[in-house]
Amino acid sequence: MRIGRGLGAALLVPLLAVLIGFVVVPTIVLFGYSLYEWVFASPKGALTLTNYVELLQSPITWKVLETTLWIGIPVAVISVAGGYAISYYIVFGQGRGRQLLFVLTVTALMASYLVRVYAWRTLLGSKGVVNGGLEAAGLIDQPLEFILFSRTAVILGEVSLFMPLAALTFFAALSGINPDLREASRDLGASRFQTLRRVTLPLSGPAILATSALVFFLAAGDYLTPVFLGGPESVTLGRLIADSFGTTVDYGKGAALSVMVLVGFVLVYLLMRFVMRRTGLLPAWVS
Amino acid sequence: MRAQTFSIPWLAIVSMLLMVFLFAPLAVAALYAFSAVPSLTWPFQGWSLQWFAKLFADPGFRKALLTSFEVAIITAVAATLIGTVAAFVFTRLFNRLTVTSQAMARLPVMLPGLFIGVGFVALMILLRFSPGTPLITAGHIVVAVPWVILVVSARLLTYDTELEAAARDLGAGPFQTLRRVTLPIIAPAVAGAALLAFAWSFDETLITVFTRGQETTVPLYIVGKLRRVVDPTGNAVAVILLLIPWVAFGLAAIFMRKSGGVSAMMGQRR
Amino acid sequence: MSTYRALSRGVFTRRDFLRISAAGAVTVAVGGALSRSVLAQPAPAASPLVGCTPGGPLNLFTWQGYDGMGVPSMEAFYADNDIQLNMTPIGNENLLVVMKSPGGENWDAFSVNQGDNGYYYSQGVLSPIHVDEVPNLAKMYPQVADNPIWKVGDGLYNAIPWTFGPIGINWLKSRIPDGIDAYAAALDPAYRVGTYDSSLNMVSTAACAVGLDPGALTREQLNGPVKEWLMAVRPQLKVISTSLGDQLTVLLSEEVDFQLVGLLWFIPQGAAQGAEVGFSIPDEGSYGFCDSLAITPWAPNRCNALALANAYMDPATVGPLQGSLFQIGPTPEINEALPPDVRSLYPEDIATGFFDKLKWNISYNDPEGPYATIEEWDAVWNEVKLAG
Repeated sequence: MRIGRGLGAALLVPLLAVLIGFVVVPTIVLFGYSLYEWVFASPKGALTLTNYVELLQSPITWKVLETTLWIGIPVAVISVAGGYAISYYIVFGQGRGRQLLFVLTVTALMASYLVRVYAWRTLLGSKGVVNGGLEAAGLIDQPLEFILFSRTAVILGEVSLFMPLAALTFFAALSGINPDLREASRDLGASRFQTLRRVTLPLSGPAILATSALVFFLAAGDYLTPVFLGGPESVTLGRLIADSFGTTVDYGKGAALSVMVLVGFVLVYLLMRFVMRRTGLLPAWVS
Repeated sequence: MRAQTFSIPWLAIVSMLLMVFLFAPLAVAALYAFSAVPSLTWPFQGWSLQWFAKLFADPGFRKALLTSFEVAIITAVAATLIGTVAAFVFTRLFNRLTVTSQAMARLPVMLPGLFIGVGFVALMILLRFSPGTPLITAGHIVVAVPWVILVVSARLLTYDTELEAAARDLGAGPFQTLRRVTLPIIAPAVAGAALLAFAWSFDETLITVFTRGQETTVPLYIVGKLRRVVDPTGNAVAVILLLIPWVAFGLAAIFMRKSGGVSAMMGQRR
Repeated sequence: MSTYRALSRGVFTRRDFLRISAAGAVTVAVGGALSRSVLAQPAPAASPLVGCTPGGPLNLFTWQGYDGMGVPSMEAFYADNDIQLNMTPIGNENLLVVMKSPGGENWDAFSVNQGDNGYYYSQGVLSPIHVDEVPNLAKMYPQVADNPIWKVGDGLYNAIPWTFGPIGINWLKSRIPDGIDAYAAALDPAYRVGTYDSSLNMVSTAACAVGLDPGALTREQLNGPVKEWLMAVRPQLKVISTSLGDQLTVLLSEEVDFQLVGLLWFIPQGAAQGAEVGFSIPDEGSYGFCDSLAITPWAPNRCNALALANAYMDPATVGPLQGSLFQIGPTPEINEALPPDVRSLYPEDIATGFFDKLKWNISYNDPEGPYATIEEWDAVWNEVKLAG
């Protein structure tokens, strides 16, 4: 069915209304709010940049940024690697297990977010499954403390959250790779590994870039996992922002922090793109 | 014809191990929903259904369940409508508007729920709007739509437009073609997208925290439970929340058996 | 991929950018202007609301357990008065902000800590309550009845100070049979310590631990010995919980050895989970808390809130509730109605033994005043938390 310009525009109105009304406008409003000083739930005074200045000067912001990186980067790397492996097997592997794997992956993704996070407590706690098992096996005599209420726990929890997501985005990308290309590469004598490195990976380069950035961003913005699994030092930017809109309320600072994180995300994305292009993972013709 | 695939046993093993890693917390959570004792520590002691009984006896939970269903159904319907229509436009028309819109439509997926939630707070302050069920639903629709677009577009792109051309050659008008050729073919994908939107909305937490007001959804009920002393009632809710995608997928699979089952949803040609 | 190319080539010309910026600027300006009008706060109720008939919803934002669900006398109260309770438990939100934010206008009543009564009242989120509306207010101990924390006029109070308790230390008896009896234990690296994420409580705890009065903490004291003590405790803090329930959960699953900012309430809660929890008021002395029922000036269901207030002040109704919380009330009659095992936990003469003995924290808000403000308390606690 052919869709003309007028009809196309008309049909897009609901989508655009939702997006502009609930995403674009709030972001702009948020930016506007960050330019005021707030007392409780109302802005006071004139337009000012104090929120940004105070945030940039505060050592808390930098400490929290450091923590966010220490958590977000490992989460992104592990999730992407694991997700790629899973989807690679689903798309290019053999055997009946692949359908099951696909269903399991989607099911894992749609399983309750909260429970997936909180259940790690029972696994990793001092009297949890892992410690209980290790003690029963005689490998340790004191429970491992660092595996819960620590950055490690937050990383594990977030990887378990985002790896299925990564797997599915890679699934879409890898399915879209023309199988003839890989076949041709093999026919020309390349080994499996060479095919992977010089054909498949570069073709999925954009997906790897986008997914890594996405997972990192989601990890940075996740404010519940650090609360449930993290120790006192596991305060990420997401948690700081959520707090400033919930418990320690300062809408101006919260809005300013949100804007800075969003801007930061764009910068990180561009940086990653640059790096990937340099290392050949992203062909030059991809924008 | 299936392109060159090879058996990669070690990758299969890695994938299976990763699945174990992903499902271990779920298995543990589900297990403890049947614990005979309130404590969530190891070792597991005894079996009991008391937590499920306690759960359904709680009017707060029943209310949360109702609210979650309401919101999820509306979200699924609205997001599927908006998203399917948009997917059609995106795959059939290419101009500045559609291309920009498509890029914009990816935004909600890329933004962590936190920012969308916080955006809603800003909107509430601006418009003096109270949080509650309508706003919860709006928040869910915003994020569900891109997923619907994704799933339906994927199907539309792999579908052979020759069929439509053939139908028109045989004398069918555009609406007839739509109704009798296109829609039946993409119906599984649309149904799958709707189920996805439903299941996702049911579990949404990050945005709902900000738009809830005094309403409770099932995930927020768990958050409330976790604020109190933790007992396996939360796990019982978890089991219920796990069942929903299984049921949804089971339905989707049965429903789509005609058009090739899960493989069709996976977008592969047979 | 072509999308990106098209975008970079086609859409964002300079003119587009200017157009978008202009639209954004206009939105910001309009948004800013619109948002200046604060959610209207109506004036506090002028005359007492006596003789109204309760019935209908009651939107209550309070601590877990305070609603009385599970306590027969309280459930009977709700049923007899045909009140449908919508209760949301407090985590660790800033209640003042909750009341002043979108959605705040739906709350009928919420729980206020004595440190905040004065300030919240000045901010217009507490409505004055007349002794005619809640007659038992006249029977309170003088330490409460005449206290400017709650009293705002002749027979007028800014909230109902219905429940009191001490803050101390909790431990699991099976793990630490001898118990913990001093705050100094938190300085010992051998212990893993848990606590509640609240600057109000942690600074008060630190103040008591170093022998200062949390109700009169100067800036030098706050940034000196109090902060030092907190920093010295920080390495031992393993879990900082964002809710009371979480504190107990973490104690019972032995993630921590003991909890600061502990409550007697954890004893019955622990017992319900089959665990024996201990409580002590540390040797260094500790502070108490009073949670009062505040009714918002805009309460849609003020009559129902007042009914609850009267229930909280009625010995027969509230006695069992206080018993379940291991807390005490503000009148001699209520405390006589407490279950004996709970009553025995408290001094014989509550007026002198409790109200006069414990310290009471106040959150100050005047940056020019002699005492450190709650914002300064927040800053210190945030610094301590992130020092790990």
